[in-house]
Amino acid sequence: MTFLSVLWARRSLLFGFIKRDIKMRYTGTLVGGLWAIGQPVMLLAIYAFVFRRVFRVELPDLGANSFVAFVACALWPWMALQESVQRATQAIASNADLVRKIRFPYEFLVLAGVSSSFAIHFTGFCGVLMALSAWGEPFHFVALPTVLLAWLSMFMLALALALVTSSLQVILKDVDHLMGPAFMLLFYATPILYPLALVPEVVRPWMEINPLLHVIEPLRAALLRGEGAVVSLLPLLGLSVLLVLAARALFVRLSAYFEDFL
Amino acid sequence: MSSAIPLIRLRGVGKAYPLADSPLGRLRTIVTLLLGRPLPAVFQALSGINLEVHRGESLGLIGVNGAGKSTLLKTIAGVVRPSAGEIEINGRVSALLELGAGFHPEYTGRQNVFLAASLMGLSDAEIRARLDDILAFADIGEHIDQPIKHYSSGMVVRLGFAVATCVRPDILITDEVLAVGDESFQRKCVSWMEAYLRGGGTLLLCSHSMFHIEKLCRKAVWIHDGQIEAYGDASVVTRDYLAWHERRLAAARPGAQPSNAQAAGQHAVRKLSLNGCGAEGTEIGMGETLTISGVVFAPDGRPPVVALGFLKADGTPIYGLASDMDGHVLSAISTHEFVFNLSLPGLLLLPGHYIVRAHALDAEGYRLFDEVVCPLVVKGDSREMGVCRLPHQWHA
Repeated sequence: MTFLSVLWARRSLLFGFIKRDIKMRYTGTLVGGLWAIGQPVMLLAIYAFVFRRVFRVELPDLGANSFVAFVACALWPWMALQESVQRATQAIASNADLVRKIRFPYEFLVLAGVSSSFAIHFTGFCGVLMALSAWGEPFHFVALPTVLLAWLSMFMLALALALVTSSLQVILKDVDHLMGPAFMLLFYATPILYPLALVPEVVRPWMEINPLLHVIEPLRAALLRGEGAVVSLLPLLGLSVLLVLAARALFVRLSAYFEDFL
Repeated sequence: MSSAIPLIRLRGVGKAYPLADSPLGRLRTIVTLLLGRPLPAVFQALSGINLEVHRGESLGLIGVNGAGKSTLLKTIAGVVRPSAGEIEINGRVSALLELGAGFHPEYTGRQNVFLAASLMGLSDAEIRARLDDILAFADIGEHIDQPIKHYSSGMVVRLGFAVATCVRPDILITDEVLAVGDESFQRKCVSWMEAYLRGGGTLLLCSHSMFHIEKLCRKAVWIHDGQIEAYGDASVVTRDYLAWHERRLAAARPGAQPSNAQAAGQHAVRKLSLNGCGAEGTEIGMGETLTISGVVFAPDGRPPVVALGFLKADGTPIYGLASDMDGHVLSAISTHEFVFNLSLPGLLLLPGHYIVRAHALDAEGYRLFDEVVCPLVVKGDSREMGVCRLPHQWHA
């Protein structure tokens, strides 16, 4: 495939962009990368306090695991998706100088934006899992391949979404404003704070349209209960690859006109 | 000299920009683009460009600002998709549309070299191999490890060009890059380009410096209003272009008109005439007598100073004088108005188009207030060169 060969031939450019993206986020900060883990940890603490101490929610089927572990499994992949798409939406517009002056595969800017967010939050995810299991939280690390595959699917979904939003954003500035409400809706429509089992039967088929559900649920089942084989995630991965290809086709079509609108 | 297959071939290339300013228009644009239809309501930046560039046949692009030169270069560089016609490129193209494009202000010079060079298509290993050459060319010493936001604009430009020198493309596209940087840097760039040309490279150079165009390019193309106005030998095209500029300048200056200075109660030239003709100017034969006369307004009632000058049609000064230099005092015709009459017997300007300019100065000749111009055409036959005849004599 030609895109993969371009990707390989110009990998130093891609890594250059990723490195720059990560570096520029934390230049001039005191604690640097700690910010990356700080926000989700704070969110986690808030949810734990509100749901466990205030509402006194008891989730079924948790077994030996805590509510914190239950939310943590889903929160980091979610953060990676939300943050990467929101940041990468601006990837083309904020690099207007580059796009208007130099010919290169512009999707690298989007890919780099998504990759850096995922790299940061995947690191945070690993750190939190290790901290929790050191605290005595029983995770099923045998299911690691499933977990990795779920992350990969999440990455592909984020990339597909970001390719669409970043190219539309160049022409229509509403896209960026749409992100906030859309992600808020999606956050509650995805079983992150609650298990799918608690959702009323009538609503469930509608919720299952959401591809994120099919990432979060198997990932959680794997980590908390050791369930779910790698093959169960393959259809989703296939779908996300198709989505990336479709999104890239749209991106390439619009990218010919970026210079007209920047 | 030129091989059969051109490096660049443009056939009927045109570029139209969408003028979608309303939000709804933008939404419609997205739909149109996705359906692959042409865009409506457009600004035509380029149209009907046919051009071939052969190996070793460097091409200079000239034209006024906004003529479409940069759009044409961007189209060839692949940044802009043409809305009509075809482009065929046979070779590796490297485009320097802006020196330092792709630099990040927070990055150090060295980090920026890596990023900019990989943008140009070099791998990390290639960059590392050429790093010393790049740094030597840029010549910015220990600042290379400082963030470039602390660089002077000249240093950024030097680094930008240095990165470009490490890529050896078949075609190098440069847009006005020689206009920036100091004299010695320009010389360095030009000598690098000459070496690049000697090495078989082909240059596409957009510049407002006819000197650079003639020095570096064999052919030149003059772009006007998005179309090719002239194409051919660089020296011929640049000469035509300069002549056109002179004509345009002459046309843009209608001559003696009452100016704003007068309304504000300042010193002003109220009337300027050449051999009795006013704003439209006059024609005289070479060697005839020219009389420049006019009226100067002085709000303080003291005799003002008038300065008169001769310029080429492009604004290059030829000769100038002021009444106080010769100790001449203008005579009053009313409390605030003073006349001057200057005759130049046997005017030795060579045939051509000129401008006569008059300035009003205060009584001390310190402050200059007003400017009024009048076109002057000198007619005659002469094969002499330059702007004026110097008295001369041949000896045995």
